[in-house]
Amino acid sequence: MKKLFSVVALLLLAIGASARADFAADVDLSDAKLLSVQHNQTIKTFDTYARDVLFQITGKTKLEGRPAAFVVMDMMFRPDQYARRNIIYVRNKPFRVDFGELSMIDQTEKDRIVKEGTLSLDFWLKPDVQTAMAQMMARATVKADAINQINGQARTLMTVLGPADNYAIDTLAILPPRNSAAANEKPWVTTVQVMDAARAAQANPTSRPASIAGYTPENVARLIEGVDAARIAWLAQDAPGTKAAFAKVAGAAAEANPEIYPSATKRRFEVAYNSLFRLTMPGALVYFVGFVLFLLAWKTELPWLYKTAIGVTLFGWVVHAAAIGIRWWLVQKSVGNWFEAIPIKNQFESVLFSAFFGVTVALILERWKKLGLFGAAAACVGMLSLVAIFSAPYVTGRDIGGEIRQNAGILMTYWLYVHVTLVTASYALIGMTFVFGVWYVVQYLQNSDAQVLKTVDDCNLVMLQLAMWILGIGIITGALWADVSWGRPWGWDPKETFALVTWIVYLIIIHVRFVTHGRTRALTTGILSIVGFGVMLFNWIGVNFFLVGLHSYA
Amino acid sequence: MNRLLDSIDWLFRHTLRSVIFGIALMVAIAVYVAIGSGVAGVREYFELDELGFFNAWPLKTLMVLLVANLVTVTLQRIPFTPPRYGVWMVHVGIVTLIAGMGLHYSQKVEGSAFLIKGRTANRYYDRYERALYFQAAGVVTRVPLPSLPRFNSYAEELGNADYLDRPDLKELSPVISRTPEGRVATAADATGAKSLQFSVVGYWPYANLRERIIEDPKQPRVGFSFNLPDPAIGEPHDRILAARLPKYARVNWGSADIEHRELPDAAAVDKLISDAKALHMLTIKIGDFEQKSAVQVGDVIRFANTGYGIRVESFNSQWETIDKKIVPKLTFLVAGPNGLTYRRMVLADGPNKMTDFKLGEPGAGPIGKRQTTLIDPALNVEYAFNIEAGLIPKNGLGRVLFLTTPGSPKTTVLSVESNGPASVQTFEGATGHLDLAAPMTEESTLMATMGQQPPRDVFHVDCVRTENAGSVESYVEEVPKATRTRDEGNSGRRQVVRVKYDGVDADDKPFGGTVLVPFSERPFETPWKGGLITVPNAASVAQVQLANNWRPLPAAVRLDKLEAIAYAGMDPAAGSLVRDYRSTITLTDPQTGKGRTDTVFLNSPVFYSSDNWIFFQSSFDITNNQWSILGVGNRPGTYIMTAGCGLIIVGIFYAFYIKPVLLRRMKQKALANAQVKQRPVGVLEGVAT
Repeated sequence: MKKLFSVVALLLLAIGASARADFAADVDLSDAKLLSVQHNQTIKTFDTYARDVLFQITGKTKLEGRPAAFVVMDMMFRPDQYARRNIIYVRNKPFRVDFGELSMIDQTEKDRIVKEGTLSLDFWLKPDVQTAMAQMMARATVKADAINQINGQARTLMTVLGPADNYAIDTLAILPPRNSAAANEKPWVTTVQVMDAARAAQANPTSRPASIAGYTPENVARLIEGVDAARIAWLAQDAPGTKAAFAKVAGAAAEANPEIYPSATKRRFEVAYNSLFRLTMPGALVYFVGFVLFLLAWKTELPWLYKTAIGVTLFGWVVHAAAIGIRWWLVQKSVGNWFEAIPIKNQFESVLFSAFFGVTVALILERWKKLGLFGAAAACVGMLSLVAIFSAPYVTGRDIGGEIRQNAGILMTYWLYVHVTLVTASYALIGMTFVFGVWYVVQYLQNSDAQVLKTVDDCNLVMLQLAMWILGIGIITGALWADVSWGRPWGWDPKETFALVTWIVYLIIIHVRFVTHGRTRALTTGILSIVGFGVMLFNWIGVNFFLVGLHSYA
Repeated sequence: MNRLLDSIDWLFRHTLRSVIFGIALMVAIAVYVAIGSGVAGVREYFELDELGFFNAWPLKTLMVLLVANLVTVTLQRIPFTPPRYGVWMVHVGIVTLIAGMGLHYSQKVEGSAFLIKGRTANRYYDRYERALYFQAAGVVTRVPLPSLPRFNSYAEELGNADYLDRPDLKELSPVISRTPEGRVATAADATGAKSLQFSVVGYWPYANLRERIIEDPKQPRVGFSFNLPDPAIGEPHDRILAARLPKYARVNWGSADIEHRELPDAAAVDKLISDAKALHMLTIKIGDFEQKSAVQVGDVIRFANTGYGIRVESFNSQWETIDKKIVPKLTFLVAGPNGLTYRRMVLADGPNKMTDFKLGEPGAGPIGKRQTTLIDPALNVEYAFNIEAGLIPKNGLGRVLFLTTPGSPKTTVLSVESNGPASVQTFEGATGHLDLAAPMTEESTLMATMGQQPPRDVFHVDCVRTENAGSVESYVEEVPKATRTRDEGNSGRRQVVRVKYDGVDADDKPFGGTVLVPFSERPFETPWKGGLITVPNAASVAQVQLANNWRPLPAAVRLDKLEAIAYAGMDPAAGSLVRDYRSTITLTDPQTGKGRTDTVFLNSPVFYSSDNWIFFQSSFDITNNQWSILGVGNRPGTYIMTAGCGLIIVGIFYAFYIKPVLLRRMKQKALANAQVKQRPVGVLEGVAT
């Protein structure tokens, strides 16, 4: 009898599990993904919101193979299922070892934390753990960064799991404001606010609270019904019911104020843009093919291969341009201003733009010189840059600006576009000089033909001169901006000084060319180009990680 | 002689006239700059901040050599011909830039002006230089400390105090005023002493200033030491309490006092406790029913068989009546037999001093709508407050009393407050653990008045009791480098100096001592902490403080208006990002008295005095919109540097992109000329014909 009971129980569990698995596979969240949400001072789709918060918590954009939108929605409806799960990812790897000091967990758990680097919210919030963390912070400030980062992740998870008295979805600002001529200048409204206001309005019909004024009763009713139905359907693992409920919510939200609700086209584009890794990996893939084709064309000297390489790299350039254009459009839709949306305000956007500028210049030079070298350098730099901005958040554990959000007020000036555009453009050209430098050294070591060496050196010189000139203007425009923003043109901030050091390296290269001759001259140029790239890279990336300065957002 | 001249010529050719030497200089400059910026430890070892390091003699020497090299190479090796105009421009540009930088960094001053809305400021705080501030008899003055170190600790006990043996750190006598006749009033004049001077004898860049009891077996006095954070900001704070040590019998803790009282015996302790629990005495009369009750805030009392009950909500010892009389006031909620609930206020000012408030009325205030007549005259309450017990401080909201009796190791800690019941904790022996609720604030008092339970932090305190409290000494506890935070380190707010003072008092008697002096971020706007010095027979307390030196502003600046511009749909007060901060200021010329109004906002500074001064937005009071901090600086050599940069950029463009075109044309021209010369005459003639 007992056995029979066990078998039945197991069967029920298996059915339950398979129902959940089926639900994850069956449920169509296309309407939910397209909902607009106000988060981090920007209007974005639920899909973007889910990816942002899931990445912040777990360091991934999927959890156990399930997409972010599903996981975050599941967190919102079934918070009890997630509070005890090890999903908070400890990005600071050395800090994981410090959990070994905790006496409340056994060795197996300590080993697991070191290996997997994940914690649960319940564990993190335990008073013993919090006390231990406070003691660690008191002993060494360097631990504070890691602890504060986990605290931030825990806070985000708590927000997603929702307050004790409400489901988290009810606290999402999904309803556009209604009651003002300048409606887009008011905060968006949450379902809780709508429900509270509806209750208050029912109790006292003469004084309707501001948060509900302007919405039609039908609109409010649809929204509340839709959210309730979504909750019931989700908890019942009812895929068709969930889809229908979210369609209702989406309709109610959109009709609340169609004038400011983002268009369906924009929202679809945003979801597609997210699915395509913000077009970074597609672009990198095309550039990679172009680069390989250029190398083959260089070796084989087949004209059709060269033409194909040009065509493929041009296609990569188009994808790259689309990545910038779509982002600009999406940012504009989110922040409401084309000028302030120019995508060059953080590391993600500046690398994206910088590489685009470099590729464009190199392709123009390729069209002019037809050597194959500029094209190869363009494809190589384009590919490396796009791979870098795609992978940086995973490698470093930090968001480098991929998430669309508002920026600090100090950045909202035309100086940003002048200074940052010039400096990052020069960085792309410095990247090209690096490619040519490496190429030259390799060819030199292989005792290649003198003409080949001369061609590479000539190409390097073209890039080098342009890079130096543009970097010089970039540094000077930075000084002019600093003069009006920080009251002094030059404050020996690490970013400033290492940009100057980079520029001095190029000044040295130019002068070294005066005092050296023949192959030595070109070899020295090649080696110093690699050194210059190293200094530039340290300035662009390393300074942010290792030094303290005023360019924290650069 | 010839050999000497040859050697000089060789040296000249291989240095100032050499491109390789120029390259070596550039490498040296790049390395120097990279080290100064990338390895902060190096410049900190030499006690140099960024400005100091990049204005130090090694870089100046390298720059001078570079200028000499550039000038020599340009004049001697680069002909001034059209293709070379570019390199000439670059070299002249670099020399101009270096000259501008030399001027800029030798005269540059910068800092920040703290502006309060509606007020005028005449001074700003220097960004780098610090000063020793002094105040006595309402006079504040300071003496600059330009060579005070910044990054490392120096003190006698560290064996390196001789580093501080510098003229501008020794025998300082802060000047208060100078009369046109040349008479100088100094710090000594403000104290009434005949002379008074200071020397800096210790410095710590990042330390806590602490206090401890020095035990003395010859002094059988009870004392307590514990660390109790400041209730408002949570910052750790050492507290010393000893009834028989001057200045340490009572310490202030937010709106409450903490006091040590030595009572004659245990009975006196019990009496005080019972007094604390019976501070409020109510006499209730309902028809024939009469009951006298000692109550505390928070008590719920039901009066047998009458159907009445009350909940005591709040107390105010300093209630001002309509006729400007200060009397104690108690507020309670009444639930009557007929289901009526209302709030009643009674004054300890004789009988029938009652006022009722109706709850939930339209237009009612937070405690209800005041009634001109009593809602329920059947309920009569008389109130008496035991003011003789002296347990509620006159200007505070609570008191924590450490009670001890001679010969007993027991410590009784009695907490009394306006808006809560009294509580008692005890411990025996040398150590004890106490839980102290944060003192009431204005907000929590208001909440209590409205019948709500205000949220309050509880501080867990480990207390050490000493039986032989001889004296109290201040000491410096340096914060280990591993636990320092970057922001606090940069702000400098944890700097401490040890100052030795000595002088001669009014009776020609010498006096002196040492005092540990903390850093004050804004010595003119915030109260000073510590740094008290003892001048015998002085008319007032004298105090010193370390802070950034102040300098006069080029114009008087009044802050007229502040605005925080939010991003669309956002609320800056709720912590969201801010689009812009705008400070509207009026600048008044101190000479002419003429004023102009302008607005400073992010990336849009206000220039003053023919662009020689700049005011830019630096910080802002986002919470209360009451103050703004403007960055202030002069701008020597800015236009020279800009001109140098312009020449460099134009010169590089010319050298890279115009020179090749010119050379190509010259080459073509030369080739054409050569061809013309080589052609047979007949052909030429043929062409000509």
